[in-house]
Amino acid sequence: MSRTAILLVVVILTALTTGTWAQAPASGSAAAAATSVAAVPSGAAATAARAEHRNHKLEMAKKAQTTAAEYLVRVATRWQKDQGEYPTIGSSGDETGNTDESGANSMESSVDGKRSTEKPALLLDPAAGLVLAPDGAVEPRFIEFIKGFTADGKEFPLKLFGFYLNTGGTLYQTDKWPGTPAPLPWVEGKVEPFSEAFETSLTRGRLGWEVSVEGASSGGELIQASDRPMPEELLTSFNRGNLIFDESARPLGFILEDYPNSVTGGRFPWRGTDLATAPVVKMADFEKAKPERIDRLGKYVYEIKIVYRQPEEGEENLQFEGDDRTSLTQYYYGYAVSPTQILVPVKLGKVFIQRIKQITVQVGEREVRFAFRGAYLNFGGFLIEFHDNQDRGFGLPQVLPLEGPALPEVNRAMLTYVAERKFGRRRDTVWYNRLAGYSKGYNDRLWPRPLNDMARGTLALTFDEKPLGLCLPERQPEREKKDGEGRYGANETVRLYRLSELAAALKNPQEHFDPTLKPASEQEEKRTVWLGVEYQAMSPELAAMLDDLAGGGQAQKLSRNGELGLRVTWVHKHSPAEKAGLASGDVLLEIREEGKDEPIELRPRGEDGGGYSGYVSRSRSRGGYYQGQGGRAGYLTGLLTRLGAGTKITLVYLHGQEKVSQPFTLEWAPYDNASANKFKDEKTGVTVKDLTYDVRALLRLADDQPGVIVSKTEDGQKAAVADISQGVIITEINGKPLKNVEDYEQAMTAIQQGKTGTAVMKLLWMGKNRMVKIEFP
Amino acid sequence: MRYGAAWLVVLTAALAAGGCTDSLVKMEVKVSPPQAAGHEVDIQAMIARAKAKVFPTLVYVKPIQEDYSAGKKRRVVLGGSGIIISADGYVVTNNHVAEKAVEIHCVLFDDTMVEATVIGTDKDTDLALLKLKVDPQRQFAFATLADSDKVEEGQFCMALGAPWGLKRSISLGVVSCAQRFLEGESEYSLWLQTDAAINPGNSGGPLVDTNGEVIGINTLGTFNGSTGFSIPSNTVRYVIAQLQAHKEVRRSWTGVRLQPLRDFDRDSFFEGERGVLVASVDPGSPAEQAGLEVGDLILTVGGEAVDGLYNENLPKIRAILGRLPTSQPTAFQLQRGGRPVAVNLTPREKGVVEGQDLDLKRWNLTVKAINEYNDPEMYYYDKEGVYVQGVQYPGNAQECGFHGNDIILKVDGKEVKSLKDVKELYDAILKDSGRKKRVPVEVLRNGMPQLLVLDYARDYDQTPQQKAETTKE
Repeated sequence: MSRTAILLVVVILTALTTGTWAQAPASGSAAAAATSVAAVPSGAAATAARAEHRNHKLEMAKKAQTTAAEYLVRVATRWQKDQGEYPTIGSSGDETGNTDESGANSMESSVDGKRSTEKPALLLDPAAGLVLAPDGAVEPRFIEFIKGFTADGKEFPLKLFGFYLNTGGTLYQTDKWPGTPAPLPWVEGKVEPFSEAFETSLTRGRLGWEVSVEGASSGGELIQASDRPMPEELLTSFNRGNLIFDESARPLGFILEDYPNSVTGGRFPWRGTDLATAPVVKMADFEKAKPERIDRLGKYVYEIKIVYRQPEEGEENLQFEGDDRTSLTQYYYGYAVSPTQILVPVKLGKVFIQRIKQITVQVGEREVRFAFRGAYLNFGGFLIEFHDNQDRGFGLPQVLPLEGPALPEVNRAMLTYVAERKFGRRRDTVWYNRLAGYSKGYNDRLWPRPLNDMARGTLALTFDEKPLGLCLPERQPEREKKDGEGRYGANETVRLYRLSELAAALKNPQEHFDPTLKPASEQEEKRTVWLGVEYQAMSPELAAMLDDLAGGGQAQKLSRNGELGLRVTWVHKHSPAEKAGLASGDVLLEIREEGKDEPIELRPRGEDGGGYSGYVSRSRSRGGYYQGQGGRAGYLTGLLTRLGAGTKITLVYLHGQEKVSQPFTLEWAPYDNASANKFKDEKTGVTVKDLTYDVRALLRLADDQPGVIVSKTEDGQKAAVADISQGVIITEINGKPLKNVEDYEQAMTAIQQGKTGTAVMKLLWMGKNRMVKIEFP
Repeated sequence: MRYGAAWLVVLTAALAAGGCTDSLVKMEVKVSPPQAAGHEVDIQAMIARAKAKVFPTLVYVKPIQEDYSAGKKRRVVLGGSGIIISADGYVVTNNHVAEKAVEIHCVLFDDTMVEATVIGTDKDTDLALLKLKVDPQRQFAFATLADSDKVEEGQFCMALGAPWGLKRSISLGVVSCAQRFLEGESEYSLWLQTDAAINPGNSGGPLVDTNGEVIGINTLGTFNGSTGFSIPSNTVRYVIAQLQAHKEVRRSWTGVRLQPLRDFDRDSFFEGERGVLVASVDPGSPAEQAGLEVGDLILTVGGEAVDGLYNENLPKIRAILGRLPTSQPTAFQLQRGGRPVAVNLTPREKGVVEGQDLDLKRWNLTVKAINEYNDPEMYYYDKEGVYVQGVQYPGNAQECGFHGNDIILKVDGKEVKSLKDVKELYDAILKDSGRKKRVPVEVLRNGMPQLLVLDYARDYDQTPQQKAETTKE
């Protein structure tokens, strides 16, 4: 630690209002005013008074500084996070990204995953070796060491002693205080209003740590007598960890809190006398009570095991968070909100929900089956319900009460509890937190802002274990619709929800569920919403060309020089687009959702939206037919499907030289190749699908062209030997045309069920036919 | 050393599976009478005799071919082989050696180099006829064609040619199969298969028997040269006669595609001993007009029985169909659903089997006319059109997103139905100095249309000096 350089930094601000200036004469004439202004404050008396005042101030400042140097210390903590642990020092910040303003007073650094934090602190009780610092304690299990440093650099060890119940302060204790100063002579009793004060702090300057002192005034009434940190007036430049002296350099108080005045941004000092007597929760007691608390609180929480189904061909693997990112068996912890329902505080994306295969809950010794009921629209949580009809007597023993006390005032400590899965097992954590304030978030909603981050699923309680609120991931439904989010992601914001807020949603879940998030059959899962167009992305060159061709059109202007826009290249038959008169060459610009102000501009990512890539291979040898990947995976389809069938929109597009606004009510698309009915013919070793509208369009098949298309051929089986490969269309079996996969299934089952059977298939590929004869067995 | 252009065909399983099944293929099989005891066969002498007869007729063919596949017209030097089949200097070689050649030089046995002209080519059988450019009085030793129908498996044969450009080489082997069917390569003829080493450069050279007569023209080989295929001399005889007389082989086209009754590769076995199956009838074709349907069994064509029991029988039947007159109908006897049906079919001229090429130099791409035989997948989408053959890298077309196999639908807003259309539009656009140097081109890619903007402001062929000069102007 560097030597303390005692620098006198005295900043005397303006606004002395003691009326030593000469008054302007009462006459209102400009000339007179001019004359009077020219009359500078006169008199040696005034000058002398000012000089004396200044000197006195300097003297007081020096005195404050000297005192501060003996009592201000720094507390340095070194701690290590587990992977994905959440404890951070400082508040979580508000929507605008402003974090707690600790300025030069606290520092954080990170080396090798270990973090070091230094905070300003005060030697509160020299006899007991107690050091007080603004809050932000790390859980003991993470701490490697805590050290204290005096203003002139002497080191001494520290241990966590406890925390204040009603304000954000943490107490540390040392048994090796270097030196034995007396306790600070705090100003006692009622304080008269005064206009100036001194603020001292131990800060890091160019020459090392130094005790600095600043004078500050507010021009009005200042600190009132109070045993609560809510004076009527504030000093604007105070920071956490600053020791405050009054005009006569007597120690007045210490700034602990984080709660800024919303107007002036200053902070409130705690009276020193109050600090000595404010209630403290001792860490030793807290730790001792932990196991019992965990025992009691743990009864609200249940371990839930969800098994997801395997991805189908063409589907992506799911990526999970937590310990095991790829396992299809995942564990969650949820709270019983009724005897048969559990709320799981996790935001699951659509794809995940649709791939849920089985949900079981560990109730005592048993694994009980639960069913997915729904996911909430306005917050990240989903409800599961007891599923076994046979067990009528079933009921979850301990249920979370949905009504309880209000959230505590800012800076009051509250108990927190959370169950998480770490390293393959359940881990319950009991700790404490405080509210640092409130901040505006999405949709201008006011959120409580905890001092330390809270993991999702954390239950906030009073110290006598009455539940107050639950931490859940936030959902921003409007934004998700536009951006296509709602994915299982680590970038979610966790908010503290009051239980009363959740009560309505938990009592009438159906009304609060997100209609787009529900488990669905595999086929339904793949259904999309359509307009019925294929398109290519606009580009600056294309926009310029379209305008040239039109002899001066609007393409560049409306597409913003090719930045946005989809140029239609194909309109499907019998589609909403066809009915509305859209044609090839139209440029789709934006979609306005009914009731929403902001339009959605159509900007596809990547080169081409829509359409298939590589559907038909250019191979000249036999086979080589290549199925479109995953079907309609284009940008526009994704957007329309997120908006949802039934949604009323207005599509704005460029038709020739005209900008057109066309209303649509979005409809489900007919089945396409990805969601088509299919049938797996095991004995032949082939999977066939209906000829859907997209395949018919791509292959220019007549509407009445019969047949089913081969989507997969198993190696080495009869179909493979007969050279029936992916993309081949089977049009007839034994002379009978096939309308759909049901016809195929019927025909083949009849043939395969007999002792012997023969199937003569007529095949079609790229306009050429072929016959094959397959014998069974 | 420039390697020649013999096709290297990776043999498919079908080939391996389709054995040369003596007992099943209905054709004459000659079994050589056993040698009398004590009679020794002097192999060396046999070879020497044969060689003496044929070696002087062997030529090393060096064509300079125009190639459009890389996005611009370029010249490629190839090396192949050929055989002189007449005293006045007609040379037989493969089509893939002689096609699109702007210049051909032949190195003769007496180490003289002579220029040759292409008389005619036949892509379907991969044969070509050249004529050496010499004084009319000059006489050449020439080879004789044997009767390939009499060739037997196991008999010795020699492949003469210039593998890897190594002129005048001989390799020795046996005829591995005399009736080989190769999927995709056996439209009108079967193949002779041999294990005499055939490598790139052997294309167009002779396969010779122990009598010194040509039994085949070497055309295809496997990657390691251990198996080779030759066009049987009887096919050569027919095609060369046609090329000599008409400079082309005129064939008829019915639009019918055949499949055998017994297909060992696909394990597909239909009943019957006679006739050949109709696999496919092209829409709008003479066969469709005549009323043929998929699944019909063709029994006779013009009174001649056609039996397509196995794949090996199909080329002969196709050849028969290819020789039908186009000026009058031919009677077909069919069987449909067990009942006899008679139809009359008038085929049409087969016509050109490959589209022409065009180099759009300033735009840095090459195009090709869509041909129903050469480009069936593109023909499916556009019956009269042009597609992008190659895109030069670096080049204007490549930068503007053109891909090979894009079908060109419209240029500058005008429909394109032929190579001529493209050329006219291209010339007109380049001539128009007043217009902006970019053209809208609508292409069909993977079945879906797209509008591309071909910006050719940059001239890739100009040297910096030329560029400076043009800008000065």
